[in-house]
Amino acid sequence: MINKLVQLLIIIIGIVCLSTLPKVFTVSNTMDNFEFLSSVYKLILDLLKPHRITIQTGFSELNLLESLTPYFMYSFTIFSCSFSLSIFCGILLSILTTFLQENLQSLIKGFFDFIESLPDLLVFFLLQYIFITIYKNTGVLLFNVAGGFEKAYFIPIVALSVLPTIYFFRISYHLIREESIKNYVEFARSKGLKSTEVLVKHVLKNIMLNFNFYLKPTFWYTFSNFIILEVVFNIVGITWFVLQYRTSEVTALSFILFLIPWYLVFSIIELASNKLFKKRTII
Amino acid sequence: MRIIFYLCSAYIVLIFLGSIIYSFFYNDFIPIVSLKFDNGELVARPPYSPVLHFPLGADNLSQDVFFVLLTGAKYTIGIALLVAISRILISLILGILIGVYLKKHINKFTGIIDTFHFFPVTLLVYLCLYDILIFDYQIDGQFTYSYTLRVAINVILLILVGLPPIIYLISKECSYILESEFLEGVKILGGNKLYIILRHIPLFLFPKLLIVTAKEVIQVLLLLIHLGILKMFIGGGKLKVDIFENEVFQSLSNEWSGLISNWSGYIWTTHAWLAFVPVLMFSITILSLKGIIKYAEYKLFNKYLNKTIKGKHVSNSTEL
Repeated sequence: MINKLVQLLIIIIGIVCLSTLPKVFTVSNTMDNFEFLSSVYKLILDLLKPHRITIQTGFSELNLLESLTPYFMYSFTIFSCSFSLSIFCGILLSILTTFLQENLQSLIKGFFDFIESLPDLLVFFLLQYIFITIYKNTGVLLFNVAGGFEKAYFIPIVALSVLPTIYFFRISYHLIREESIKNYVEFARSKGLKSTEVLVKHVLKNIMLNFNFYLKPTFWYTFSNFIILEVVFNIVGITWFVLQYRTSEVTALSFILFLIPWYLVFSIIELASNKLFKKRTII
Repeated sequence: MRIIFYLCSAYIVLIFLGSIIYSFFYNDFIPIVSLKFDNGELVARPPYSPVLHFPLGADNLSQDVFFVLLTGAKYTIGIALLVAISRILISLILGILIGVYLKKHINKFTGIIDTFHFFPVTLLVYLCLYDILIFDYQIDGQFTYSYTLRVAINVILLILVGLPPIIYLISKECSYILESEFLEGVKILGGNKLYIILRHIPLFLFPKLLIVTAKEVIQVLLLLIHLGILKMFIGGGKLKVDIFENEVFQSLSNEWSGLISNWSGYIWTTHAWLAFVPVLMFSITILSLKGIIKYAEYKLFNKYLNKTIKGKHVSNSTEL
């Protein structure tokens, strides 16, 4: 537990350092090491009182936390919804696939492998093109176009979910295949349990431990996709905010706010599954 | 399997060398496509679709898209290779040193590595280079630094940004190798750490390094794509006037990520294909690299099976 908190602290300090880094690369004045460290220190002090940070827009000064909140909530909702959705869909798809014929299974897996190796931008472009074509042909506007007054949720969530879903599908499919050749599955089947029952009750429970292991890498992957999604779909969210103001305070605070809830979720899952696993080995 | 491997390698070598040779003999000449007239009437004006102008159409500056892509290929693939190889070489040295001498402290680095995952690399590079490559030009229409210096700063930053994860990977791999059983024998027979570094570690590390390099090239290409969509070019750009009389901020070197940003706006228009062209080129390159990786992994796996090496060094670092 303490270990996790220390790690969180290290990550936060790392993010602060990285968001101060752009100050080094300027045309006008060059910075030396001491100045860099002092600005990192200043930023940390500022972040301890986040409600006091202000940002400059033209001639007026705004409170950072107040103006960041709507953008942040919007981005966070999209991201969290699509991340949870893709976990759910990925596992569901992999379960459904295991009931299919062997040939069909490898075909599906090959297809998903192919899509997964495509760059995310191509996938987003294709989706965007499909949505535009649908609109042009049927007149059904599936999402609010760039700069619309209402916030769009449906399309960004769907678009962002595509790649992580495939990622999760591959992982859980691989884990299920690995698990289902083990002895206890054979035993359960020979006892006369239905294969559905074995899969859902036993195999799925057992792969969860290994599945947790892949949550974090997929989170990083989804997050970097999310940045690009915001740019491609013109979503006025956290990326827009960061790119608009470009100061180290804005960058640091946005990413730290984004990271903390998910980091806590991952830590809780990890600790819980560790505990569960320990219990099982004792028995 | 082997045919796919040859096809993939042939594609990359062909487009890279072809681009260099073209610039060598024709000095990057890009044909300008003229307006299309039919009986004295204007039928079409650029951008042309691939149907109107073979093979890939013409863009908004009425340049032939095929030749634009060809001249850009050497920069994109060249930079990706350069950045990936230098990342690997630097992290090889540091990684082996950390893996051998600081073996017990490796796990303490995970926090620092995680930072690089939670902070999107694309934005880090963008924010770092914004002042030098974009803002500086916007103020007075010229750059403070010379073109070479800007490219150098850009490439160095691209190298530095990717270093920590690879250093971690290699040092972890080294510590796995050090734990294997036969090295106990080496130590008893008097092999010191330097001897192990020079004699034993390369044998296990180098075959995997090829795969890691190819993966790193893919990472750099993805990063370039992301920077392209954020409208950042390698070495900055300049303003040009296109056929619609819009001022467009254009890459100086037809480099593919610059092309993405130039043409990405066309996805909203009837010329949507233009937005897809550079992204598709990137995708084909990445797919062929993946093909090469798959073949190499398959070969490596077979080699391990044939030798039936036991122990921990057949680790899963190549899996993800």
